[in-house]
Amino acid sequence: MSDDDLKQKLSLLLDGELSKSDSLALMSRVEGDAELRKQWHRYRLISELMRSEKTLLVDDSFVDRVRDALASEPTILAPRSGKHRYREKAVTAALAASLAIVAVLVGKSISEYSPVRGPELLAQTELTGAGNARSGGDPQFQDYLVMHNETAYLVGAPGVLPYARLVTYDSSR
Amino acid sequence: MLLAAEAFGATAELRQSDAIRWLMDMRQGVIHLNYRGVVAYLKDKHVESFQLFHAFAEGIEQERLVSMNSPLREVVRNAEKVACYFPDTKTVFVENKPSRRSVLLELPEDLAQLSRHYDFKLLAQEYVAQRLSQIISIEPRDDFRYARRIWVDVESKLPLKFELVGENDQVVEQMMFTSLSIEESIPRSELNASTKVDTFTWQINQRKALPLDSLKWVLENVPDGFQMISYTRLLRAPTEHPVEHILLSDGFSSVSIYIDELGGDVVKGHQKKVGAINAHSRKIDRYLVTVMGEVPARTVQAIAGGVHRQNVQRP
Repeated sequence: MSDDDLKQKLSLLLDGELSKSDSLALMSRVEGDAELRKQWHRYRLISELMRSEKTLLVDDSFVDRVRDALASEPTILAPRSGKHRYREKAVTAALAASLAIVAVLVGKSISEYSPVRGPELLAQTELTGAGNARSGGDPQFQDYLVMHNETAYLVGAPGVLPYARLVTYDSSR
Repeated sequence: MLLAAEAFGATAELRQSDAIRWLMDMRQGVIHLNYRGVVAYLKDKHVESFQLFHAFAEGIEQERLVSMNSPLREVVRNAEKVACYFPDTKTVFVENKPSRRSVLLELPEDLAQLSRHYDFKLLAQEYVAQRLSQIISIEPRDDFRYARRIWVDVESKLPLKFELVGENDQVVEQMMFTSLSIEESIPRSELNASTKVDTFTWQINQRKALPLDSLKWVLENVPDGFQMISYTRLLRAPTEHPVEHILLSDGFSSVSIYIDELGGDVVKGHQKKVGAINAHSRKIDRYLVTVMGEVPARTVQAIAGGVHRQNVQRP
């Protein structure tokens, strides 16, 4: 089985599209192959990222790793037959798209403010419209927001309406 | 030509000092008057309302601010303490001996100093809540801060409307009195907390001020004008997990830096923007550093990018 076939099978396995016997065979191969195991973890991480509204914190070499991963990722051009063809395409496209989104956002963060290049950057998931304003599902962020407004007022930081923000802030959103 | 330029400069300075005088009068009005009103607060196209009661008697200010819709939150301030009640999470935050600040609208002591970073102008006059008001524009001199516009009541000098203006002249946060009455006095019953606290079920959050020389972090890229005004360790109920908190302010805008020791390698990040608040996070060694404040995204990015541990060699 070629590397490309293996990677495609990993995608299908992750998506529950592989038959039971193929799944068991592939898992056994993953267990014995360190490189394949890395690939599997990478695909799982990407899959989690795609399904979650949360963002992941990344370290120094994240951008380099994404670049390397994109460079070494095979371009799949050959059409394939069978009932999984559409599904495979969708998975491959989605994986590529998620990598591209992360790369673009990280790139944007760096270029937006050139004098400061933090060694680590947050891979931010930008939501649009009302979704962006709603911070539901991230209690830590909301906790920080409350602390910010509380402290700004309590220590006498001049500012405008820190308590209006607190009193009207809706924790359910 | 030179004389004309000098005259223009003098006129601009005069306009600036006129605007500052309006703001200083406003500060006096906010502290010394007795008033009650309903304030609409708009953020992210979402409107909330709260009632405000303010009294000044025998040299002491008292205030109560209570939301009109669920969740029914309340803030009460008197000479001894500020208490913030959050019934939905059964949390009360109490600070003893608060500094003398208003919950309505606070301005820095030294407005003239602020003119290094903001340009103050008097604009037109308009009616708000059927009262004539003077519009004052506060424009930042760089891209690290938001602009503000304040509508000051001509008669009482209370701020009737406030706008925080983000990039592309978009209003990101707005407050406005929809009703306001200035009274001889405000009854005590309107100034006391209405929230009943059961001490067995409510959590009380703690805050411990830390000496500045114990700070193990260096802040390199803080835009000019922002100063550190508080360094505390917060123990958040119910886990009492400690978080270090540094608060910076330039007089109008506040920026918080949170330093949280991580339990694992991968942690949740944060949404970038909620209303006027922008946030940016970085992982430094085993710490998550989060910078947030009512400032543009580039400001929190700049500050976050310049945070590092003392005596740690950077790449």
